[in-house]
Amino acid sequence: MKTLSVWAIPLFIMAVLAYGEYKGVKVYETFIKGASTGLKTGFQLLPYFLAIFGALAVFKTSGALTLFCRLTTPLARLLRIPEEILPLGLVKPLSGSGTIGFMADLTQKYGPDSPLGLMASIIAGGSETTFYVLTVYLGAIGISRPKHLVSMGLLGDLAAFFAAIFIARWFQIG
Amino acid sequence: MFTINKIWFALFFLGFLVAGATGRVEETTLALIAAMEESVSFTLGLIGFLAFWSGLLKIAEAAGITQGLARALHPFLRRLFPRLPHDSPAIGAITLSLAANLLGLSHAATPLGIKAMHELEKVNPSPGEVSDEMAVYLALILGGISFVPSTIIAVRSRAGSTRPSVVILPILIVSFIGTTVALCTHFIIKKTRKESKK
Repeated sequence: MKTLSVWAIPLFIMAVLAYGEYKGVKVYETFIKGASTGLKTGFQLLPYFLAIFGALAVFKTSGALTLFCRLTTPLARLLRIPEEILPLGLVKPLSGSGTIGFMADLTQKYGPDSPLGLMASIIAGGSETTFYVLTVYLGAIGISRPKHLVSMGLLGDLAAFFAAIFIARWFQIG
Repeated sequence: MFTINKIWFALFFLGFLVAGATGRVEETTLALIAAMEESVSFTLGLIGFLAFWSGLLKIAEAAGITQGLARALHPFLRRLFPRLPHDSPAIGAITLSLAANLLGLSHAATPLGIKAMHELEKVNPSPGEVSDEMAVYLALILGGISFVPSTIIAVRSRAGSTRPSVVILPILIVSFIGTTVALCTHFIIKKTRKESKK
């Protein structure tokens, strides 16, 4: 598994280049053409990153995120979710690095193979970071109105979150 | 419901209100300024990657790899994207991007995804707005279905797990459920919108 993931990118590059050569593509010139398009797209993303990183920095540093998580503790009890797990579910759609940070913290505190550690791992891996994906993918083509996609992504996250809790519990019994 | 405008507004507004209440106004302002710089360095870091993969993909496209892959996934994609011709560049780009996600090549997945969005925008009936195809495609991406959740496995083994990859199957099931719910949400919203227009 480890060798496979180490080799994934080199193999992909080699395969594309080899097949391109075989098909008579001018690989270098074609690469330059494609790369300059990628460059333009990259710069176009900056305003979107500014918007989302700025807002998250304010929300996190001010303590609003911690407060928000604390306010949800009664909700966690009501839903019979471990209190430690709910903040992870709340951070999940907002921040990829935040999610990994939370998960690393929980796996270190309780052990990666403990019930909580497994649950945290499954939640962290169970969906993409909704706000990041929407920002980047829509931003790249200059669409600033996501229409119903935010609701769509968040409902998917919600479903994944509860599914993860359910499956993690079932997984430990079985 | 959750519009990006309202959420963005709330993050700033509530953030600064709490900062006032907890006496962390100065730190919060500094964090905001740091985030501005971070956005620039993050974009710069991403640009190298993005440009490299865009270049490589151009080769893949010129060699006909994308079209070949798209043909293989055709039965599955035809149902999800009925309006796109099976040999269109959009279907090819979507296929490549989904393949990268499934294989857990998260670094490669972003440039591939952006490429797919560009292709979808080219065939968008109302440019500048989210099309149905984009919504379906993004539902698949947001679901995050992957056979190799590499980051999670890495974090688990760093934390000393004896079975770091034991979560692969549960994660697969969970992301499948999330993706299905996102897709259903899109189709339901689309249907109710059409009916209200009638």
